[in-house]
Amino acid sequence: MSFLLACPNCGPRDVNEFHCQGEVTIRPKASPSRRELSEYLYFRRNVAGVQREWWYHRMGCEAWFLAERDTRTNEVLSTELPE
Amino acid sequence: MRLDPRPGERIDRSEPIRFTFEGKLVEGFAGDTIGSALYAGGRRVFSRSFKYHRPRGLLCCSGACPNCMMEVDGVPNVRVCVAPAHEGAVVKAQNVRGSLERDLMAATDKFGGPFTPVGFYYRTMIRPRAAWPLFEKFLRSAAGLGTIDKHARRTGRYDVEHRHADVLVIGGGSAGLEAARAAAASGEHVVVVDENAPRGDAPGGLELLAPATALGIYEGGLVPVAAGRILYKVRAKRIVVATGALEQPVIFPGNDLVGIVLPEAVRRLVHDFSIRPGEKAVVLAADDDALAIADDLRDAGTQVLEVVDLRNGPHRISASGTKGRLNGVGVEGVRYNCDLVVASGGRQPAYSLLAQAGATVAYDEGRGVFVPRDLPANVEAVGSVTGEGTGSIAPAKTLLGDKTFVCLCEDVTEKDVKRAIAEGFDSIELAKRYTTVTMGPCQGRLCHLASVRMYARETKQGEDAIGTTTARPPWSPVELGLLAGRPHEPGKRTSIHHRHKEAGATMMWTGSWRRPHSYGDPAAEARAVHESAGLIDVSTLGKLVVRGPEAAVFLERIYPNRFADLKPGRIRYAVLGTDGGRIMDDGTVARIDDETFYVTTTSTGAEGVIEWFEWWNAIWKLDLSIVDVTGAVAAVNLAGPQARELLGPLTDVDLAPDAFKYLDAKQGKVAGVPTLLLRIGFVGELGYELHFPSPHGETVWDALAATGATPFGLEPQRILRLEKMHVLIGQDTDSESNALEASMPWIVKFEKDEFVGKWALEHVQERGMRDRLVGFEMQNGSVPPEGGAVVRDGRLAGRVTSARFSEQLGRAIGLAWVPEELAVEDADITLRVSAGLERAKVRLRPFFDPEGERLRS
Amino acid sequence: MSLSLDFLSPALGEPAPRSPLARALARSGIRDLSLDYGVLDARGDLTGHPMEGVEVVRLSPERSFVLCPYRDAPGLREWLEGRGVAAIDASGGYAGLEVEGEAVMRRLTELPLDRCPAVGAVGHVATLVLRDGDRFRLFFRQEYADYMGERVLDALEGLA
Ligand code: FES
Repeated sequence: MSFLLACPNCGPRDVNEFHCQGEVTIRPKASPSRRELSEYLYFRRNVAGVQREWWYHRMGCEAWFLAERDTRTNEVLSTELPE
Repeated sequence: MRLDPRPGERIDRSEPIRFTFEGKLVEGFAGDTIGSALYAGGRRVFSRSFKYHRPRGLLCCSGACPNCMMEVDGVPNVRVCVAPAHEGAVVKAQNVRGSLERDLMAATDKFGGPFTPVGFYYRTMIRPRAAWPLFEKFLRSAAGLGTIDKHARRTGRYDVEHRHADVLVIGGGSAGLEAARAAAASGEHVVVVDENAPRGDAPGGLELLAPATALGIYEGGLVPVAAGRILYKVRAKRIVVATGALEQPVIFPGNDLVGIVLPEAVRRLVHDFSIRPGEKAVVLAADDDALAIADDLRDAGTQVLEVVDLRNGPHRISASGTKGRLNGVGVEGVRYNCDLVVASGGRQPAYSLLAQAGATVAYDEGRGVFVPRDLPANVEAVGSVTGEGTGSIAPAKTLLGDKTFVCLCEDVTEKDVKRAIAEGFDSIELAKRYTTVTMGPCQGRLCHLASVRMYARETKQGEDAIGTTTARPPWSPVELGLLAGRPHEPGKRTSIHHRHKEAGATMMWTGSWRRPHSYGDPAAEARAVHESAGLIDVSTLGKLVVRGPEAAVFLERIYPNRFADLKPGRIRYAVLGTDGGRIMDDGTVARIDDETFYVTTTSTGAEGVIEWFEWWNAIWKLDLSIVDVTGAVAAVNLAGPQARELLGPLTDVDLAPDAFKYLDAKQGKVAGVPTLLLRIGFVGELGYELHFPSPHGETVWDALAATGATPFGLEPQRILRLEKMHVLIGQDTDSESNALEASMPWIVKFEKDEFVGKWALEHVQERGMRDRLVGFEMQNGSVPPEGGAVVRDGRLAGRVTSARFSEQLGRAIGLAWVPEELAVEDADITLRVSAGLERAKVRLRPFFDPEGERLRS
Repeated sequence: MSLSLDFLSPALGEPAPRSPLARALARSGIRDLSLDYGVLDARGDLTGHPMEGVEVVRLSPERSFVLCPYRDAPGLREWLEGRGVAAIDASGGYAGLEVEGEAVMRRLTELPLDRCPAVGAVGHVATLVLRDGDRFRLFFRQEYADYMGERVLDALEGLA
């Protein structure tokens, strides 16, 4: 892998400067049922297409940001700091 | 053989160069390649083929084929036709037993039999099984390229260099240079890569890497370029591929004989090196450029006997030779005695890099070649690689027959391809794997088109239906040293590291840290901690400052334990869990003031914990900062019954038991250095963990060591903590373990409204415990292996995670996961030790000082 | 006595601090910056606080490194804290050295050298790179000092 990610703070860098935390999930608000909890913990959409992901710039500004990446081509369509 | 000086020649006749080939002196000139110097000296056989050990000679003279690979200065598989000759080079033939002229292994060609057919080792040598090692030995020595010395040490340097370019042009031919100049003229930074040694200076404004090879086009516009002993990693915004087109061999019986060459070889031998390529020649060609080669030959004094245009065929052609060297060629029944046949089956665009980058490749019926289409963004193609300018060439029409080679690298003949098809390998991808055609050093440059055409012909389909095989990097062979780069590992060392080395410590890796395993005698070091005092470097612990108005809220939420009520100056044990309730890490939290907490983590977990904290706060957005001070702070633990007496004289802090209690944090100076003192103990004795600025690491260590405290390493620490039944995260727990089953229910505060992992732990509580982490004591002295089985009724019921012999207790002790019903004091369990089973008793309380009196003393 | 974060400040120590690069760079001729610069890890907006003789490298809208003379770090930290900027004295956490020439940098990093200061991978280690003409100052975590010293000297040797 050698694709570039545009860190919102540092600009475009090689993917190896980052750590990917995987796709963005939605944490249940209140006490979830067993099923809801396991959905949240263990199930991922794992799309072949554009996915929203958490990335951490471990070799740079040490900030977390969100990226939209096409999992088929590794093209990163956009990046942004979390709202 | 060398012609009189000619205008434009590359050689400099005023500068002779001498090197040896097989121990004999070879003379050439500056500007020669090793191959041209050898050729000028009369050498025609350059290698022996991969499988059959047939003699092979210069074919392309441009680095595209396998025919001239030799060992140069110990490096195997060097293409001598393009490797510059240098003074004193030591050149040897490879893959031969004996000499190139009399290779003992050539018998494999004569005997034929089981060794001839394609895929023979997949079928023939499967049975009898026992014989395989013999076969393998023979095959390995018979087949193959050069050999490497397994015991060789790294010699010389291989370096990596990074480059950024607006435009990277691959290929310095006319189309490539034109594109490069245009880009440079518009102010872009342009890098040009070319396989040939540069003639003169690079054109103005361009950065030229030559002779160099682009190995592939990777994501993000990354192109690794091999240039001798430097690997350039070029990052380009735009990539222009101008790799041109490759002349293809003509497929006819005897087409691998020495003396059958491609037109490019003639061009280079004549124009670059001023060599007459042969005395009498026949030209067979399927494009106008190649037909024009007759003029170059005449110019060099070679007699041209016949020129055959292969486009109006089919022609019956076959070559003959003695001892692998061409002595004549028959064309439509007419025989020409000659020592040179210049044959070209047309030019195939060198599209591989484009295909790797994501272009599709389509068969162009009109031109008879494959051309790249649908280029990915930021990649362009110019010149003959697009198929333009390769001339309108119909496939060369020739008839096939015996000893017709499709693939010279892997010695695959036309017969082999037919056999593969007959056996059902009818897709080109499968056939590639079965016959290994295109898998050799030329990477399909000279055999891919021919094999596809043969497939099309045999299966009666069109070339477009057959398609191409997947192009993968590297597009040219690379030396492993170049990929390995420099031999350095980014290891971490504490500020006290060199003191450990000086004291003779055995160092070990823990994550990316180097740490002392012990200073020679782990048992004695553990004893010192129990009897007097020991000193251990724990600078590797992760250390964070969590600070801000909402720091306490943050810790409350992220840990299952409670921290809001922790008083400034007090410390609490902390276990970090995931939302799945799994244990992630552990450490301590000391409260500095209302808004400031000092958090420690495990040595190997530090980076993960920092990311974890930052991640949750990227979501929660609480008002606080998280600052990693792991490296800024050195830490040592002074532990043992004499710790107080030894530390006293070095510090202004009141160490009296009632002034400085267990789990208190104090601040003061130690050996003149500002220090945070934490009264905690991982090893079960009275202990002080001293945290102070790293640049004073050696100063403080030296002062403490001078008191007589014994340095101890990780191994004695492991014995000591096991005596206290302290859990080692990652050793006694894994990614499945939760705090309840790991016997730490007290750190989970269910009464808190929320914390990471609360829901999952509630579910564990609801369903009840299944397994539990408990201590055990062996009934005899044997130490079970870590990872060993807990056995019940002959079945696997759990596993041992830690086990040591404790000299202090005089027993073997450990921790193990057992079924919940066995998690009872004194329960009998059975453990597998070596081949047999041994009995042990379950223990739920620390083996040593169960009331913690020594710790609190 | 109440607690503070003084234990993070090497400049408050009475004995002389030691450079983590002292061994790696001994007799190399490479300039060791470890004890020349103090490093503050500051959170919040620094723009309203002009400071003399310091360099501010902004990592993100919320975070900056402030480089100052080694001995000044504790005082500067106090000054900033007094103005509502949370700052931690990270001086002990960073080793620094100076190299000359783009050539050696190209062997160590893919960072675009025309866009300094920057933080990125140099020799596979997160590094703050400051550039003044042809001189590059590199700051990295002190635990990598031995490795980085060796790595930089090796890269220079390859160019010689
Ligand atoms: S003759 Fe050297 S590679 Fe073809």
